[in-house]
Amino acid sequence: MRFLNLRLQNFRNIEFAELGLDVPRTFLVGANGQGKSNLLEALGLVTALRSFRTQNLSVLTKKDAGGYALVHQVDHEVFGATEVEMHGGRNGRKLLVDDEAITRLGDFIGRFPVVTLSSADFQLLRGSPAERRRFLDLTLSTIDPEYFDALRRYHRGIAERNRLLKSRSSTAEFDAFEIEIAPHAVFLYRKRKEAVAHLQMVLREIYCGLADADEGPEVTFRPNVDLAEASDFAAMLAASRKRDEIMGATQKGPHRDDLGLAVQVGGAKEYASDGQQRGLCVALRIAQAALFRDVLKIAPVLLVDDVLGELDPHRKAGFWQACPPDLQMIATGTELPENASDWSVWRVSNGRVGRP
Amino acid sequence: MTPAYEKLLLQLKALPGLGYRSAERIAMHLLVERRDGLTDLIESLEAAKAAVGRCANCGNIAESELCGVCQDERRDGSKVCVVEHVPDLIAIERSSAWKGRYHVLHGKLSPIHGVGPEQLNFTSLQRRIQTGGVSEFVLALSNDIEGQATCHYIQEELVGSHPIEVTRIGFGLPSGGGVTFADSVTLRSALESRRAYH
Repeated sequence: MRFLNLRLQNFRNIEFAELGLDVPRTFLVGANGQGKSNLLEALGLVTALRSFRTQNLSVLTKKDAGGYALVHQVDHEVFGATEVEMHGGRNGRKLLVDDEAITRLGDFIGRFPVVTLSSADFQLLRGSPAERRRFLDLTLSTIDPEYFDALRRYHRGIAERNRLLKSRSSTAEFDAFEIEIAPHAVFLYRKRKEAVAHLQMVLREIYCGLADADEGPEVTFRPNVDLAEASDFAAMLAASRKRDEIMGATQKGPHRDDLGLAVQVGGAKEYASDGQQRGLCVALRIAQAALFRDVLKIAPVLLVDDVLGELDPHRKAGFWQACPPDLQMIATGTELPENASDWSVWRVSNGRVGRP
Repeated sequence: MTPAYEKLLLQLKALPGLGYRSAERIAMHLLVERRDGLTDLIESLEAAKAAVGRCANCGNIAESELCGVCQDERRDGSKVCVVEHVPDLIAIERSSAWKGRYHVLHGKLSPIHGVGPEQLNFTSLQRRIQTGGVSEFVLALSNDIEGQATCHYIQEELVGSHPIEVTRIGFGLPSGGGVTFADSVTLRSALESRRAYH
């Protein structure tokens, strides 16, 4: 898909702005704190109503305004020219696709895929396993609505079981919930394993393009438990009730899965250089975009939030080669890129957008 | 505002689905705009409070020991449809699709909401199982993790080895709805619960 146009009202520091995007490459240039990332954030909401910067959507409304409004116009492989309208803030959320109200998030997630590359991606390596699970869950929920459904049911089931652990419940109650949780756990395990294998396949090629050297990048699935059969997981849950009761929560299961990210020198977290780590995060995001394109048959849009500033000139040059040329790209930076003539440039200053 | 009005407002606000504004509107409607209807409302509330209780057999609302469905001799007592709430029963009754009897649980297992087996209408369900005469339970509980867990509990813990068939209602496409507009989770469920044509 491609963005054609974006209109924003009372979003972050932007009172009103309109941004024409009907080109393959758009660059938003401006000093720090002017609103460049806010524009990317607004574009990014179109995939799953999630921001790449915050989990608290109430901060999106401009200070002193009642609520924000966003209108995305996109050209889509399946739906053709489509308008996505979002309202949020004090008066509640509303989501319209071509003037039709969307009431179930599951119907919306993943229809309009974008991939955001930002400095926050560093958390994929440096952060806790929860960050990496979030990456995996968002990736899979985007390409597979059934995954989103299973994930919701699994977490709900675990929450119910955790409450059982605290209330001296009967064996029959534990049985009832564990039996229901188990198939969802196995489903998540299977889908995660498949997706990580797919990511690994594309990651290597992308990273090599980026670094111009084969440093053996690796993304591996590190499941908390290997789950082949639902009945095995149910039995495992049953066997660990006593221990879980002492710990106060379910200790084993897909809610404790992790990803391993590494380059040739071993586990990336410990050994890889800063540049290698950044390169790996960038490559992982591009691999995510490639996965979306392969599975959804819809080309996602790449939103690149000031990532290049952090790469060395060598990797910077490699970055453009590593990005699939058929994907629309919207990037930000404090300075124009070297080959500025290839880009449609907008200058962002104090929440206003204009041509330089 | 007056103390009596405030008290009424709080009572109304505590009702399900009513916020402050709706409660205020209703209070004003009753006390000021349609004051003459108030006596009738109070009378019907008191009459309902005195008359309406739970059916001893199935848990449906009833004005005698047994509800209308349980009293009806023409209903097939060997087939029992298990539902979460009375409105579920009313919805199925309105469809005229069910000729058997019902059992209302008044909820589903949900530890998060403090609902365990003791909070549900399981005692009379157990009695119905033990007395015999039931050949099939149709579980019409919601298709979420709590509804599923409740189904499992009924099958394993209550029905157990009794010779009763336990079935689950189907989940799939709404009648008159096309395939195009169904979400993929619903479609999967519809395909999984497909049946032989004719």
